Order: sequence, then structure tokens, then C-alpha cells
Amino acid sequence: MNLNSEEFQVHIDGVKHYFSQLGVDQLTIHPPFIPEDPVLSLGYTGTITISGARSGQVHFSANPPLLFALLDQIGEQGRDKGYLQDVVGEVANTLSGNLRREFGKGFVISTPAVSYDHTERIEPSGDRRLSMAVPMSWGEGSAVLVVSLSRDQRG
Amino acid sequence: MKLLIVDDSMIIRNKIERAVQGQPVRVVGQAKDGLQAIELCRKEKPDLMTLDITMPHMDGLTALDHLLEAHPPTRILIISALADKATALDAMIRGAAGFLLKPFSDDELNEALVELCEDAA
Repeated sequence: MNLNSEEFQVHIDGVKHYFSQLGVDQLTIHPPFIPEDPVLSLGYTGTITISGARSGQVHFSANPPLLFALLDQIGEQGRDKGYLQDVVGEVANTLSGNLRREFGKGFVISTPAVSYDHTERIEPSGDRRLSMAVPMSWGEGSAVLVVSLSRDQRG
Repeated sequence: MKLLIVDDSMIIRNKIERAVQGQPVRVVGQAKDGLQAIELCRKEKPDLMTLDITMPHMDGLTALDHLLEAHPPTRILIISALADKATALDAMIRGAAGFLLKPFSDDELNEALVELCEDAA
């Protein structure tokens, strides 16, 4: 079973919820698509490995302008690479953890791994046909959520 | 009241510390994993603690047992992105005093901490 429209909506709703909870009302979500390469990098990428009832990865990748805007929104003054890595990992972690509302406790998430550009590429796992990308923009900033998951093993 | 902040994200730790400024709490330390949390808990004996679950080296639910053993009066607020009800229930059964879901606002955090303080009084 490939990802269906309901599951697409779960991921879109998750992104909307995350940014709205932080008070961001200028986020634009663009039409989701199935990527040729499930690891899309816009600069900094936080990756969560999924195991349990589903397996795969959740990637959240963003360019520095979006991450700077997010740090501003959170009230964080720091701007160096460490802060950008931290925030992109935290977004990936939160989006992944929130998916347990839909997928349950059996959706096991790892701590985030963070990569910068393509220098520390995290190889995708799972069937590429089960990937989906949700691109978004916020002012000058851009980001994409890529979810690559195996089929639902829940009975 | 003494507060210990535990989260592997520096940004979240800083966010929590900023949010409680002006509140009747004093931040006595920050820890980035369960092992550091246990060490600081033994040393500082905090009245309150915020505790993430998904962390390296030792996750929050495993640390929770050790933290309550190290300083039983500590009131622990779990702050986690894990949005399933089973996890929240598990945390409360293990002795957490509250559960706050990420992402959270400063107001939501302070309301949760006030509730912990009132329960402790």
C-alpha cells in the first residue's frame, strides 16, 4: 500500500499545527509531491529514523533564512551553526513525535541527526516509492518535510 | 522554587529558562540527557523539573525512575513531542506530575508549572 491522500494530509496538518502553535501565520504550504530523491537538502536537515510498526525516516530541511525566522519566533538570539543545527533537529523531532497522535506508540522515533548541505548526506532507507515531500515557505525562507515510510504494519 | 531543565535541545532549554523569568522559580541547572539530569538532581535537589523524553544516552522515561529515587519530592513535568496518549499515561504512572506536549507556548509552560507548584503546596 503506497502513501494515500489521508496520510499526505496527516503530514500537512502536522506542519500547519507546529508552526501555528509557535504563532507563525505567514507560512505557505505548497503542493506536496513524491520526490525522486527522498533526501532533499535546502541547507540544514534534521533526520529522524523511524522504527517499530513503520520504518523509514522523517527529514526536515530548511535554508538559513527560514531557520533565522524560526529562532526569532522562539525568542532565541543565537545565530551560529550550532543554533541552526539545533533548531532544525528540534523541528524534525517535534514533527515526528507528533505523528504518534496518528500512528500510536509503536511509531518509534530516534534522536535527531543533523546534516549540512550535502557534505554529510544521510542515506535514505525504505522504499522510495513511499516518500512524500511537503514544501513550504515563510517570507524569504524555504523548507521541506520529506517522509519516507514503509507501509503501515498495524493490524 | 528550584527548577532543573532537561532537554537535549539547547534552544528548548533556553526557551524554558526565558519563559520562567519573572516567575517564582530559580533555574539551578540544565541537562542535555538523562544521565546528566540524574547527576544534577542529586547535587541540586530541585523542587521542579522539566524533562524531555527523546534524548541520547538515557531517555527521559528511563531517567524518571532514577530521578524520583534520587530526590523523591521533585515534581517532574514531562515536556515531549510524543503525542500518543499511551506515552503520557506511562509517564504519569511512573510518577511524573504533569505532561506538556511540544510545541508549547510560554503561557502553556507557565500554567503547567503553576499547576505543579499548587499540587505540591
